[in-house]
Amino acid sequence: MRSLRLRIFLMVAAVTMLVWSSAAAWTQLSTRSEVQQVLDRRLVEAARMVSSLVGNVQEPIAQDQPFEVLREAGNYSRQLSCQIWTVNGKLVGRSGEAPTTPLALEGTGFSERVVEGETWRVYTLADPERGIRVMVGDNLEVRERLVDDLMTGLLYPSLVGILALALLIWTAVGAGLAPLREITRRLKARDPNDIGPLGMATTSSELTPVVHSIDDLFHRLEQMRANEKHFIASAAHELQTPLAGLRAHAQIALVAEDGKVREQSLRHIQTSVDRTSRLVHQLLELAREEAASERVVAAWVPLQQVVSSVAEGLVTQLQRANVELAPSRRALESEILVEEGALTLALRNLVENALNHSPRGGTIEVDIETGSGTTEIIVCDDGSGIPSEEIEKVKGRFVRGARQKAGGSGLGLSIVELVMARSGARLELANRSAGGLRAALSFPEGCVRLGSDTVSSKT
Amino acid sequence: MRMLIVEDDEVLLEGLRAGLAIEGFVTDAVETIEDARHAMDVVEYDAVVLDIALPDGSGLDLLHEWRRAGVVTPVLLLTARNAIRDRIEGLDGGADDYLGKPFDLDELGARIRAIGRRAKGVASTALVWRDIEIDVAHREVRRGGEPVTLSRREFAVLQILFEQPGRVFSRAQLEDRLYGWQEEVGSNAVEVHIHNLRGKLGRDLIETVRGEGYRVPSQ
Repeated sequence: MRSLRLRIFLMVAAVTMLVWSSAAAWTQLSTRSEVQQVLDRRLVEAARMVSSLVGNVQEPIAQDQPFEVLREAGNYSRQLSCQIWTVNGKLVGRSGEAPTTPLALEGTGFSERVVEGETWRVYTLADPERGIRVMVGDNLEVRERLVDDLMTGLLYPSLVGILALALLIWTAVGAGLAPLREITRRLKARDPNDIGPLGMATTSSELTPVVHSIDDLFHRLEQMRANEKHFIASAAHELQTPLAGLRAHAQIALVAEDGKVREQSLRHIQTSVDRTSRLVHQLLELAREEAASERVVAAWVPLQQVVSSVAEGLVTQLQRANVELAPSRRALESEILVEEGALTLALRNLVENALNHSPRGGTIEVDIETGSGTTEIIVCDDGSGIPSEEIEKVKGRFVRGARQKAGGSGLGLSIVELVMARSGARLELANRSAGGLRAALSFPEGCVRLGSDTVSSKT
Repeated sequence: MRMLIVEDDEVLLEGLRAGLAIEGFVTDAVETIEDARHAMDVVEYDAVVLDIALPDGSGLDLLHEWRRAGVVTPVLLLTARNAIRDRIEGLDGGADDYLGKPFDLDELGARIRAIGRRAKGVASTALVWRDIEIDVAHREVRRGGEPVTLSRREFAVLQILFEQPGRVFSRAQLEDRLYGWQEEVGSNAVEVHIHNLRGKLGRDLIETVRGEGYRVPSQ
């Protein structure tokens, strides 16, 4: 059923019809028996009346003299017929249309008999004193017609009533569905780009959850779109500055007469291209991670495997900066229940970040620490750390530390936070008391298996 | 012209320094709002190139601060935010010009010269004094129609004196405008430039005001 209105209408109409026809059938039956009783009583009264009228008659009554009182007009004129018989079986009187054969056989009271092809219902009254029997009969066919006409008379107004009822039900259902129609109207009238709330202040209690759900959905959509817009704007903005640098140096290299100046500019171009590619790479990583499905396939991953893959990827940068990546033995022997790609991505970004802030000849430590209910993978550098007022801010996208000169994109920590959130882990940043930053990936209990000798040494 | 560049991207900053040096500007470069504030307190710049997104705040806020404090130094905003609304906000916020990244260095040079001229009330890029003509945009000098070759510094001294004829500039003032922080200034460098200019363009071009400095006499 495609229309809700039609569906409700048909259901209500069906129920109404059922109740109505039961009531009608009942009325029909009771009316019919009522009419039969009334007509029977009339036969009795008529018989008594005729009997009393002929009370004084001694002589047989002339055959052709009908009782005027029994004449009736209209459709039902032939309905009532009367015969007066003597006890010895002689017809002494009858009404105009009455047949000449007896309407009833022996006995008194009600009886039915077929006379001359017509069925009669007869009441016989015997008066033994005067030696007469009065028979008053109804032609049953006429009687049925009377009852049928009566029923038909009742039926017509009912049919009109049913039609009116149907119309009223249809209108009422339509009115009842008005809030639903209003929602549809608003949804249809919207601009495809409009994702504001429906703006229906009050609606029926059944529809309130629906309206709220729709509004909520629109709200989330709007927020997502705003985030995306902001992200794209920031990304474009972030790319403008390195591009401006590239453009400036390219121009200088073209016009500089001094060989040293030209060489310097070309070198800057090289650095800038590297950094810009890194930014683009991270943007793509972030976009890919955001588009990735919520479900991660976690497996036990040896941390050593992840650390080596990170170290391999950064070997040139580490060498160039003369920074050592020093994972602890405990860390290397641990296993993490995580999606390997996600952990590698997170760890690489943390190590890169540490590398960018490490002094020449510095050390980046990777360790594992257990706390209450959590286990943390820790990446520490011996750089200058982050001013405490900025420590929460730097996780935001495109936010770089104020004092940082390393030329990061400001996306690294956002990527770490995003991929780790999907694995149920959190990123926590703190300054080390000895100087430098301590970045921790905090995993919930049960996600980390420490190396066997570590466990034994602890117990 | 001596100018201050406030830009936090190292590569771009280097590009601006080298590029503006080629255009004949003397530049000091800083990377943060804090350093920019200090620099403005110490040196009288002819123009400032100011980035908006800086690590310790917004360049626009710094600009508001300067304008409220009565600093009239021309400022050119340099920013990646290049929407019309951003430009209007920047110009209404007290900037003299606005340039979106990435940009052409020649255009940047031209715009800086333009805001510098406006600040000094000069409309033309050609300055004329008697039979000497200097074309600031193309950095050319003619005497009686004949081209004269000047060094970068000589040209800068000539331009400073020419832009405000009759005004006396002390040696320190000239040095300030000719050399950035990182440049070594010889003790008699200004005298040498003046001497060379007199040699190339005529003795009566630059007057020495004893105990005060130098000037180009007003016509």
